[in-house]
Amino acid sequence: VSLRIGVDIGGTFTDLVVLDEATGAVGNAKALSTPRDLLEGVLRCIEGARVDLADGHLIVHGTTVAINALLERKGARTALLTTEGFRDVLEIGRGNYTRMYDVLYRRPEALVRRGLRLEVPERLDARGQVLRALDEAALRAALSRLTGEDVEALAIVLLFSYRNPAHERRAAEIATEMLPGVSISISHRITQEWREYERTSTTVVNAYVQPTMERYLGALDRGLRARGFAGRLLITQSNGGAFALDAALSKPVHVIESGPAAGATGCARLSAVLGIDRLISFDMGGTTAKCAIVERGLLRTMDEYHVDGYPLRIPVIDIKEVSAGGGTVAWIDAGGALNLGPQSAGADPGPVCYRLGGNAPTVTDANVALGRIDPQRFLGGEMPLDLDAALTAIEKHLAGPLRLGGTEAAAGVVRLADVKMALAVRSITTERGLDPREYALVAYGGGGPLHAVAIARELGIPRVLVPPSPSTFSAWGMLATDMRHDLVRTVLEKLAATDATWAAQRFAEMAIELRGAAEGEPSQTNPDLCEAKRYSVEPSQTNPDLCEAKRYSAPVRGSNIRKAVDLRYVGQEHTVTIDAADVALWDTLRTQFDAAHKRAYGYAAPDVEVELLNLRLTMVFPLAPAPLPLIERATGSAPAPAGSRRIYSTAAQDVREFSVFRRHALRAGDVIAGPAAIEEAGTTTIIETGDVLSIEAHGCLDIRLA
Amino acid sequence: MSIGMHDPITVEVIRAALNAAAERMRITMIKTAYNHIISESLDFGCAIFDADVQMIAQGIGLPVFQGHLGFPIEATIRDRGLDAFHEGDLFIHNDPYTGNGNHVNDVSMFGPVFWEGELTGFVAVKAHWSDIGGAVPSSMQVSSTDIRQEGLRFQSVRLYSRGEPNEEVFRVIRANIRTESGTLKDVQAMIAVCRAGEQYFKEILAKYGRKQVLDATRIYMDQSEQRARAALRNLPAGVYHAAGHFDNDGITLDQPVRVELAITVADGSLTVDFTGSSPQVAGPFNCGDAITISACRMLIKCLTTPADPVDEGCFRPLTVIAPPRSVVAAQEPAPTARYFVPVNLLLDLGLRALADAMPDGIPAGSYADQMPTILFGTHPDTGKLFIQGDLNAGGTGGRPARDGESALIILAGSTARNNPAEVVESRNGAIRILRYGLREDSGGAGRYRGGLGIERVYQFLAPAFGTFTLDRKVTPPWGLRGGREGAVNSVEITARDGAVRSIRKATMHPIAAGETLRVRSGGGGGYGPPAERDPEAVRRDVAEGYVSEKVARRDYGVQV
Repeated sequence: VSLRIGVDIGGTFTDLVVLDEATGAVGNAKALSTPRDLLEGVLRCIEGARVDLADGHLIVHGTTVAINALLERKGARTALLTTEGFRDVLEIGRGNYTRMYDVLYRRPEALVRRGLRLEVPERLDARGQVLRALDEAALRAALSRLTGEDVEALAIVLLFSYRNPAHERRAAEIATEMLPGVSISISHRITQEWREYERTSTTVVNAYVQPTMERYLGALDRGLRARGFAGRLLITQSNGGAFALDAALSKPVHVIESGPAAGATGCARLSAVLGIDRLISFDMGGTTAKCAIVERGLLRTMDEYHVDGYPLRIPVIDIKEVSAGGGTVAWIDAGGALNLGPQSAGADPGPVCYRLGGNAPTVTDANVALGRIDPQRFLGGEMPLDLDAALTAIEKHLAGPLRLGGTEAAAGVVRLADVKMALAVRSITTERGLDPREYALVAYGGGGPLHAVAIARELGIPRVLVPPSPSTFSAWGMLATDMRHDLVRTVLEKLAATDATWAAQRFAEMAIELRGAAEGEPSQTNPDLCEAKRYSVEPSQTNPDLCEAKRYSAPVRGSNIRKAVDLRYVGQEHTVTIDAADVALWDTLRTQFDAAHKRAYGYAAPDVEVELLNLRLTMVFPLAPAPLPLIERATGSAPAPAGSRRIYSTAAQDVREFSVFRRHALRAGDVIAGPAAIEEAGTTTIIETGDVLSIEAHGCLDIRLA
Repeated sequence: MSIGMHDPITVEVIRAALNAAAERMRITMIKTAYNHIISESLDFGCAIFDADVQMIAQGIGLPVFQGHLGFPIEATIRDRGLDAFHEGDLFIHNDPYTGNGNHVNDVSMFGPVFWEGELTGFVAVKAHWSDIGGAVPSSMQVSSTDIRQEGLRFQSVRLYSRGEPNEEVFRVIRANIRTESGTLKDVQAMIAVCRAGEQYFKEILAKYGRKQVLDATRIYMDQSEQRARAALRNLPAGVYHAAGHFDNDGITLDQPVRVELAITVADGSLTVDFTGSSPQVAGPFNCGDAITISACRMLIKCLTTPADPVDEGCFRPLTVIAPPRSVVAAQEPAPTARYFVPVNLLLDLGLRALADAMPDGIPAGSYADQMPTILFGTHPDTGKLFIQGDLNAGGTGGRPARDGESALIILAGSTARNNPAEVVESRNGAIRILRYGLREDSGGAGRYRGGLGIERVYQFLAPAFGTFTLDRKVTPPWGLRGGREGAVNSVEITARDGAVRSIRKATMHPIAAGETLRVRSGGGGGYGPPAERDPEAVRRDVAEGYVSEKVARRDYGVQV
């Protein structure tokens, strides 16, 4: 029982990487995603990798189920229960435009329509004292209005619940009793920060995706167990860490950026393995392309982010995403101009060349038409593509209306995709004052290696790296994740009124709460029990490793508890986060804050009182780092191409002969000069005339641009 | 010519680096401010300039502040000469008639940036001080008749001299404002913003060299100009008119005040002429020409290149004619505390004027009056003065192909955000918020309905005062192409005995403990005849509670 397995479901493909911890061997597999029954794709992958699930002790899984439900507005029919007088907070938001000069600005439509937003008489004050008791009769009357509305999920958000969750808890009890089968999301269990709109939005999104996630994760868990898997199933979160299945069931909003975060985490790991400080991760999948910055081996986390305009108050790796994937549809608009996306053909119906029913030309169809993908060798030859169908669709839908030749139209699609993705990379580099020329671009996902060199050239990035098995790299990233739980709680106290004892008690409560993510499980079988014991005392007094090791049956190297506080001068709105790892040093926070404020903003105000806004607790349980095996070294002779074929060069804008190499035949130290195509099971890397590729010791393609 | 030799990537990187520097100035302001009007309502702006006071990058707070941050620098150069600027100096300036344009609460601070001994540019920030002295707390009243009643006025005052604070000036400020502890910290924050901007600008100069940086700024400002001109060439040439009135000047309550404009679009240029607007008025509803120009700069940005960063090049195709001593170009001693009333109106009128030139791009009239609710009193916990200022969102007009958005803050302040009830109550023990929701039936009827205004109800736990400025009753949010007007805003105070007082303009209106204050903002105008509205859409509006059954019947003839 030594297998650690990463499974990443994307819109188009399901990827699997398996690590045998006993031997260090890494294997992978890829199968088409099966949107109607995602489990099927997972099981097909497992078969493809010839894995016996009985040998697996840990499966780490990332999924796009939650984000797709949100982006496609295919989530649950959701209702909202809130404090009397405040049902429109969800619709009003903060009243601001997000495009400041857009006189026709539209905000995204509220996920709960006004008629399903219920109010209940109750009120707490800003300190959490009850001003008006929860009116249970009125609550029951309000909830009874949902009968016959086919509501599948309910979000409960009451004012000041982060100070006192009693009313939310009681409302949830009554709702659970009255609305059997309805998923209930309660704000204080999702986020404990003030600002009612942001908390409402986060809780509503949680509710909106929860039934879909419950169905999916339930089926996955049952399916894996039915096939002999007896280990632990972890789900990757937007913060780049993983958490237990039961936590994912109750807080699915944390899974929104699951897959992209895992890929970025993989890049951070790669940065450590290769000893390169500055990387731009670039992941092009079937539906979108994503990029993130790795700086000194670290990824940046944000406290809040927005999906389609909805604020989510949860920690997330700072990732930029654009709708430009292999399955993104190219179309002609009313003005006769060529457009790309945001619609995607995904895996079903898929690009035209897949012959699964798709008839709208996509980026993949354009790549096939230009010879950049060999139709006979797609997925290692397992899934031949229909070149003629791709050409016909491009002729009919694009070239005809544009009055261009087929090749020109296909080249236009690829060029448009390149520009769109380059803009995304620019937005996380130049637009933040970072010079892309100081970074290397790491390309992965099925489409990344096809487009990376063109994007790098567009931005002046001198170097592109393609890791081994790039098309399943996000799944490898899942093997590189650690267990992670975050909780931020608004307390709003004068710092001087708190002390180490107070803080230790609050942090202990929060730790119990984090552990309690697996709410509802009978405590006897609750694997988190040992953690509860741990956190009732200072962690150093027990052996956390032992406990964690048992819990995750994974080789745990240690546990890591990060405590921090958000401080500000009284009167300020914004805070500076100060590390508070050692609560015994609580008295020094004041001077630390003054110094940090001076460092960040040029001045300190030692005479002004300091306010403690939030407590932050992060628990990280590192898993053994995923290894990247060295490959065989070249023996001297230059690598021989497997052949050559005519490929459209986007750099030269003509069709020319490219040497074609099989990636598995390349050895460390081999050098190849462009133009060349490096083919492997899930993708093709294209290098242009003048570019030089060398094979790095772990088998990464290391491309220096002309 | 060396300019053409610069590769586009370097130009782009320098442009982005300067904008990132301005963005860091902006973040420094938000993060270090002590005053909610800055940190949440974003009532500020900051920018980086070259030595010719051409804006090369901006960190945008309020969009309507984007176009006049350089004017106080130019006023100081005119007043005191370029020689007055030394390394380490910082000036403050808030004179409404020379470069500020706003009320005196909005204070500009700026300093020169020297590189290798040469004046290379300027950094500037303008932010709202919650009090700047004068007759009433918050300094803004509705019936002042002289600028000197509105607080301290700074004309190019040197706050820092060669890196050293001018303590005498600080002493004057400290003794004349009510919120000295908070405001003096905001002054510290503004100093931090300028110093940060100077430092980041210098980092970029060090990395790329002075010449390369300045060449790049010239190239991208030219590109901005070209893009703006190209967009203007897509509009049909012609002269487009609009006029409207704001309710009164706060002194003579039955006398509406006219704002009139003519927009000339001709071959890549745009001229806005305010001839015909009222002479400056006795009360504080005047603005200086600086903010009028800035508002027109915002307008051209909306119409041409809304998605691009802002720099001086964007504004070059624009000419503004504002007759001196008119309500949009006031001069001494006209008070300007409520400068935003004519500014909101002229922005909305500018859009209306162009409705025929851009048939797909212009909505019906919006509520266009954020009617700031300014509440102050003695904080029950601390015994100190508190000031709670809320900008109110309201309805935007129906559009050519869909309903108007509900509850958006005015275009001039489109980045500003409302204050969460949880934040207001946590900070302020004297106020409780009982309701914050949409105002039913406030959207103007039309084929595409106007958006709804909001209703916010405050309860007072301790005695307090409110200052209110309601407008847009004489020229309500207009309908377009047959659409009806949106609802007019209102403020009502209900006493404990149930007696109701309606208020439109009042300074320091006393509110007793236990009274409630109901603020209702205006709705947007409708677009197209109401009779053409899809009856299903009307029924849906009734079902969701946006429109009452009564109004559905009255305005749309739909029985639900």
